[in-house]
Amino acid sequence: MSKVNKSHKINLLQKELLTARKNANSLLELLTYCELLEQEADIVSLSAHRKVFSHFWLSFLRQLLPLRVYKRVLLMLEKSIIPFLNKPRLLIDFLTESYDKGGVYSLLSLSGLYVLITKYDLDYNDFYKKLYSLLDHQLFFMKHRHRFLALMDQCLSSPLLSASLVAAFIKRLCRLALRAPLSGVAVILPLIYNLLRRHPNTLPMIHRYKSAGEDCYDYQEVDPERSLAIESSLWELDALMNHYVPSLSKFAASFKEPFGVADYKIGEFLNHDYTKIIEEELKKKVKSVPLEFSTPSGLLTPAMPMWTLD
Amino acid sequence: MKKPRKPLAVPAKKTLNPFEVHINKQKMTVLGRKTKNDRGLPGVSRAKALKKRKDTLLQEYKLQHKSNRFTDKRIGERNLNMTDEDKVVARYTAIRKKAHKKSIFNLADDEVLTHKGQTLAEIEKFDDPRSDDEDSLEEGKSGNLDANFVEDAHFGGGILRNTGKEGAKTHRELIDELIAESKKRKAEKQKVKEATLELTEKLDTEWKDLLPLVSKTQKKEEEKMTVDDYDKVMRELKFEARGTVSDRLKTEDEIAREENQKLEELEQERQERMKGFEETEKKNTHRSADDLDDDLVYESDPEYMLSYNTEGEANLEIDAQINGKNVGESHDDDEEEPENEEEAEGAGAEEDDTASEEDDDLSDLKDDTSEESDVEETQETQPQTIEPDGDSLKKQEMMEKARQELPYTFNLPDSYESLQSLLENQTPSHQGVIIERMIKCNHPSLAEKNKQGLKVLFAYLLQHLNDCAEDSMEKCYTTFSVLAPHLFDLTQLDKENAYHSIKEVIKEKHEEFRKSKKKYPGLEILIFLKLVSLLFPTSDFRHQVVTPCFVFIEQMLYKCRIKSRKDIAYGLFLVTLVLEYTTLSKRYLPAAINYLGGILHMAVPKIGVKLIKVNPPFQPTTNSLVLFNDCTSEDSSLKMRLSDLAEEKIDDLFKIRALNTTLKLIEEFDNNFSALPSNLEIFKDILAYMELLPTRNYPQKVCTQFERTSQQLKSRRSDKNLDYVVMPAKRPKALRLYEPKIEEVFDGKRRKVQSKEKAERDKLLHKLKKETKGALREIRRDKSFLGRVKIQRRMQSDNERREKVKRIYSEAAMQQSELNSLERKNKRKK
Repeated sequence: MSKVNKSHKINLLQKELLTARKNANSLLELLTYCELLEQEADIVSLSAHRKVFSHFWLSFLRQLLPLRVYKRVLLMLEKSIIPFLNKPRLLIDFLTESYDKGGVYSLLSLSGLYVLITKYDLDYNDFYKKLYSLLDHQLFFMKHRHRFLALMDQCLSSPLLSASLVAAFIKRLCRLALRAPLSGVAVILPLIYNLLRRHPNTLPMIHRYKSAGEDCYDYQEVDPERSLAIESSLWELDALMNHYVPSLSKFAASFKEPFGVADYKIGEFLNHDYTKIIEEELKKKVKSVPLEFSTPSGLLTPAMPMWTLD
Repeated sequence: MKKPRKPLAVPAKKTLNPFEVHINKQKMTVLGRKTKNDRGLPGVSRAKALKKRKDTLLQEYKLQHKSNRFTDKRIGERNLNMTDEDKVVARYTAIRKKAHKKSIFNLADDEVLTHKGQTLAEIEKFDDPRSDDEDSLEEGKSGNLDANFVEDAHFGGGILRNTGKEGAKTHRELIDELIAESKKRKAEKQKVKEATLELTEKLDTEWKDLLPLVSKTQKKEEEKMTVDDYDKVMRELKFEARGTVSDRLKTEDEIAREENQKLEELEQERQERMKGFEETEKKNTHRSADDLDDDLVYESDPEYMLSYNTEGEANLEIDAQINGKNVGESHDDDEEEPENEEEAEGAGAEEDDTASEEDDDLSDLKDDTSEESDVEETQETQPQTIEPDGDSLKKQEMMEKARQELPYTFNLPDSYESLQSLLENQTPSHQGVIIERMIKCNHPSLAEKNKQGLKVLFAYLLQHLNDCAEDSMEKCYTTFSVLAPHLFDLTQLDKENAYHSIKEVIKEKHEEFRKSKKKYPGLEILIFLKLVSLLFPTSDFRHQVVTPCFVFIEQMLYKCRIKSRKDIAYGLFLVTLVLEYTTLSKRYLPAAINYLGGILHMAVPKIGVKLIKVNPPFQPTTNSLVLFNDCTSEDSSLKMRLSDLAEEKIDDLFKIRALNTTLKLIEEFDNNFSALPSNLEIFKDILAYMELLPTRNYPQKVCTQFERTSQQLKSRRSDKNLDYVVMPAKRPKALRLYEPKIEEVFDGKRRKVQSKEKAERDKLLHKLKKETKGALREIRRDKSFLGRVKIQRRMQSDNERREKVKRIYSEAAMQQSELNSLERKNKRKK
């Protein structure tokens, strides 16, 4: 392709871009337009082209986006936007803003931030503090939690993190497990296991000869470093050992045994859902079925004194 | 040039040149050990490697920096798997294919070949498979002309044979005659053929009629062989079993003791199942004092079996755990079991009677039923303590009445419809009696097929319950109460079947539920979940039926939206079920606690702007359970009603009831989890909600309940003294032994004792190291090979250059010398 042709094309693109920007209502159109641009990027790999691409995206993200588009942008950010920008660090404003937004937006923007921090040397001070505050009971009912939890496992895998920080995460996850649905507990346990295994400094949380009196961990504290989790102990594991799902109960009990050499892959634990577990349990081959041996007396047994037949 | 060399190389391999073999010395020789690497052929392997490099690396090197290349597009040329022959064949087929390429302009190609108006494919169907072999064999009958005729007609035209007889006939006539003859014969043949066909078909049909006649004659002979009655009786008497010695009858005391022991055993088993994994762990961790940390395992010594455990202590513990409830029930069982035995005996007696007389049967059953009613009296008194109204007495009376009204025998239903028609217009108590009698009359010990029938009956009863729940609730509850004991009996008779049927029910119900996840499903699920708790032990660590039910309950509690009165009641019923499921095992179900917290949250008035946080599925802004009116003087029953499960509207009374029940449940759960160190954290939210909850509008009873619950929760906080979590102590490393470690099969290899994952990882790491080393070595050799190639090239080019220079020099010298000589000549001439 000749140079004239290319510049001509770029000119055209810019013109179109300008018209599109003028038309503020047609944001979706812009989005499709951008997809078109991506395809172009494969054919013509030119720094000028990159420039246009970055310019376009940055100006696009400065708009007030409708939430649906916003989510979509966040979802495609890591794979199809960041690698093609010429200065990805310019996205920091956009990402921090959405990270502070809370809810699903924080979960989604984490992946983009993670890429910027690990690959493009971005320095973001309150990253872990923010991550810590995202751990909430609501988390386990959100749509994109799987991606988030897997990423969090990656974020916390660095051996350079301080023990008190990691301990705070562990303790918080433990607390959440007391209220989490089955799928949540199924992820939390391997997460904690990985954290304890990678950061031996936190091991006193499950092994310490001392009488504590009370749990000194402060759940309300925003700063993980100040939550005193490292002084605390994982009493919640006892409750989880009594969890009604046998496999989870066994997992919780495995914390009492020496740790293995390899991490658990979080991805394997993400797809525990009710249907799957019920089907698995029902599928199990049985040798004999234990039976109740006391004769029943009716619908409202003595164990249900709060109900009457009326 | 290369080809003749190859055959030379092969024999050289076979007869090893002793100078080429290198023997690797071994420091120590071990008998019986075979080593792969005791001798090597360095020269040969080096040559091999060199050749390989020449074929691969050198080619690449040569083509380096060259963008043009030849691509060999001959078919199969680069495919190593193909032999020469294959290649040739492939190429040939390709050529043929090309030649056969259809031209779109050639229309005649797809012409269909026909024979006598039929296509060849049609003919090949061979509709009438009758062969005409037989016809062709018989020459005379065939349609062909016979030999004489043919000879005359075709070849007999000579002068010699002409007798003048045929003179009159012209050639044309002759031919006509010939044709007529031929046609006639053909027609005849066809006729005969049809006739035989007809005959064979007729024979086929008639043969069946004849068949009985033939077999009858044979049977007559057999009949003579039958024995007469006398012989039969005699033989029976001869082979009849003699009387055997039986155990003496047990006294009542002994029977009671045996029963008690049986119950204790069952309880013991239940406890073991409840512990689940802990049990197996204990077995593993047990070590005798003499354990020396080798892998030697002694057989478990009988002394360790805790002799005192079976005596007094364990029993006391068990009784304490099931206070009141089990004691009463054990009496029940005491009374029922002997009755069951009698029933079995009665059944045995009936079996002996070859002629089954109706009257006899009935009297037996009468006795049974009268006794049964006694038992039921004791059973019925039990719920009376809980429900102080005269309801159960009335029920009992009705049962009595039903007993008298109904016939005594019932056949097992052969379809669900028949059972339905049988139970359709009966009251629940009547239904109970019918089922009871049905089971009694068709006990598996009475006939072989009964077992199958009862299996089906169990499934039908489940279906019946399901249908009842769809029809009307109250009827369903009473029906359930009546049918539950019988379902229990059926389960005891055939547990496999019960397991499979219930399993199917749960699967089906769950699939139904999945279609609309956000809505609480029908009431029949409550009934079935309750049934599960009656039939199967809910305290087991893992139970094939109970565990899925647990998961199902949690799913409902977390996913379903709470909107109306019936939703709240439904959830509370589920939580009550959870409580019942877990009282013995103390299992933890987060959803139950979450739900109770949510209900409390609904009762907290939201006045301020600040949101009070609550977990899904509850909404942070709901006010639906807040009691606005003053109800302090309200004095009705505070128990939840089953009718709450059907109504939509939330009234004040319901709010009070729901709150009271929630508080009670919280108290119970707190008692359940009092041993857990994180008990406080579990109930933290609930305590926070309770502090926000104003109690002034509630009646006195609820207030006291509220006070009691909150007091209990708060006291947990004050009297808590946690010890840090401690890992179980590691096994102390034993001192080195001086005795040899004995292995059963010694294979000369030492194996590390390590976990499977670690072994796998080590293996992989070792492999990685080996591979890396190998790769590095290869790269080094590649490099040196290339170096050699380069230096050779260099030397070659240098040599060439030197030669060239030399040649030029010599040529120049020659020229010079010629020049010189010329000059010299010229000089001389001068």
